[in-house]
Amino acid sequence: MIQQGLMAVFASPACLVWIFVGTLVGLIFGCIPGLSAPIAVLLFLPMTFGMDTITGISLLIALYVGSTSGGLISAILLKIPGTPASIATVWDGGPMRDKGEAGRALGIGILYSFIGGIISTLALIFVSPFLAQVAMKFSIFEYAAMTFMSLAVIASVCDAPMINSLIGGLLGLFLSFVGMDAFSDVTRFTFGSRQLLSGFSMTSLLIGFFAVAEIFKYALQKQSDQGTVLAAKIKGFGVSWREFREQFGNMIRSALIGIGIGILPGIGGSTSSILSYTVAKNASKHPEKFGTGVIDGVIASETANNATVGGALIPLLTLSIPGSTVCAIMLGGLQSHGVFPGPLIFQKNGELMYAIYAALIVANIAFFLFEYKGINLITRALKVPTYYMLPIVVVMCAIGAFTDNNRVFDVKVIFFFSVVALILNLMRIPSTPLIIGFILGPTLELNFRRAIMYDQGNLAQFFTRPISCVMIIIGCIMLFWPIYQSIKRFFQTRRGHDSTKEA
Amino acid sequence: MKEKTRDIISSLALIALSLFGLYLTFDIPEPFRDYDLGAAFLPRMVLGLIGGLAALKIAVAWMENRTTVVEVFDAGQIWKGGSTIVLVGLYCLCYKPVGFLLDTLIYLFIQILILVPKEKRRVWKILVIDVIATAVIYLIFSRGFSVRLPQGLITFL
Repeated sequence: MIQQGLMAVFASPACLVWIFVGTLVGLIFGCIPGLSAPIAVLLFLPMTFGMDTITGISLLIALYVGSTSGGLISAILLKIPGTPASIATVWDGGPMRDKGEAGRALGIGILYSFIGGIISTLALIFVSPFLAQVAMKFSIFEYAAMTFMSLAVIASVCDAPMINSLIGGLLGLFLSFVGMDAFSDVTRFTFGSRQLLSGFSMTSLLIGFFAVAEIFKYALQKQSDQGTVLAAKIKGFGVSWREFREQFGNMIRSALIGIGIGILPGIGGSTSSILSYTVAKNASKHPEKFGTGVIDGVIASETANNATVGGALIPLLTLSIPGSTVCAIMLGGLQSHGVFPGPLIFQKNGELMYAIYAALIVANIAFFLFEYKGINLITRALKVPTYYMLPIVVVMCAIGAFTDNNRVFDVKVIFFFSVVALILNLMRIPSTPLIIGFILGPTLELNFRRAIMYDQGNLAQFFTRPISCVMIIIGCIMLFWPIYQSIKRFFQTRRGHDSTKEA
Repeated sequence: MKEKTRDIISSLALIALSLFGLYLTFDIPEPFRDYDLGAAFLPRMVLGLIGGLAALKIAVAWMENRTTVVEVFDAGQIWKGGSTIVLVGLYCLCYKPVGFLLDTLIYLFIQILILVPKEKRRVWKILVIDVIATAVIYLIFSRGFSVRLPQGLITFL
């Protein structure tokens, strides 16, 4: 099985070509501000329907890896993060560029992105079989509790006010209820439409939210200059052997942060890069130098954001819980190919799992080569204006929605969801909890209702089973701790105001 | 517009949505199995929570009394944004009756024309990009991946 999986990638010229193409396209999408990893993966999703499973999934992985690492190019050369995951790279990569060290910053960024990617691939290889074995012991109670915990974690750690994140997650759950009930032939919220009997297509929802809505946001924002692209020549990797040894601890710590953040559902590369940058700064002997162009900041940010990729794939493949938006799209891709991730994936699709490992390694090597040797080619893409790219993206998205089920209804659905995404954006309700809520909704409902029926209307087993009980407690802490903190802060501020008035 | 006003308006809209959803759940039949919670149970719970959280949001906005002004769009942005929404809507609606090729040709041309800054607007350049992009996308999907895209008015291809 291992040999078959690895050979399906390494010995297949078509698969290798698609991985290289995917990585290059991902790099271009990652380095152009305004285009992101979800858009890149969504655009190619319909193409994968016509490919065999391993080639299709390898292409999606290559796009994910490429677009995550492409952000560093514009972060350094334009001082604008190409993707949210490279925000922290700008903080020290930008000043290095100003000091005339753009080539060195790029060399360091590329090297540590590669190392981060490889470490996270190793984590995926060693952690996922173990996690899958643990998950085999899960019953309906643990599945329902795990879904609740995931939703609570997403709501509490999302980069938005907690109430808004919770509302987002609940709206996602609500959307997942549209269609026919899984237990009976009862229809819900379909308004008599036959097209809605199977509910909303995940691909259409994702395209509407993450790709088409982007053009609305772009049109509504004040247009600014795309910035001047600085030409940079990379010589070596930008670090001496002594510096590499000095930064070893920073590298390992950042990689572990990236993997850990990746495993947590709902938060992705941006959080991991900012968090590892902050940790590196706090642990540094010279924290005052951070932000002035030190290599520590670039290393922390780039190692962490690339390490998120492998981390995010762990819960996706073994528990069927997407750790990020891109993983949610990949889940759609896997399901379209008849692959249903979960604890049994090693038994049912073992060949695919090993092929995914191989694809990750090849994609990491590919982006390393492209960025290191073809930086001039990629920076040319930075000069293509977004106003030409976005309308073409919309056209490709419409095809993507259409090919999902071969029906025009889904094309109309992407427009509906793009408008919903825009309205929610204006209301400051984040999209990520909504998407995760939509994906986890059926799992939550199915397992919760089964558990209640199994226990004859009783909730007791949720608390008498240790794993389920721990998950519910973690979920409750994640939900209520921030609420408690904000209530405490509110009353403290109020007391402060009252004492000032009295004085 | 103040942040407080925005939060209150958006919360009221969410309460209206949850009430409407709750009203719809009364059409869902009761469960016929023993101990089954029924198809309406979780939707009701979720909609109730959405309404409750939206009410809480109003209370928080009222008590915190935030005076921060939310960024408002100027006339140019509203025109660009509004026309883009209408255009994408029309593109999606006409996908089948007009057909992929013609619909895309018209959409791309008008959309790029709307988005390109006035000083950089070159009609011939936009037209060339429009035709090439449409043709390449059509050939990739219809010939390369054998996707049967809607033909609409152009039936001879």
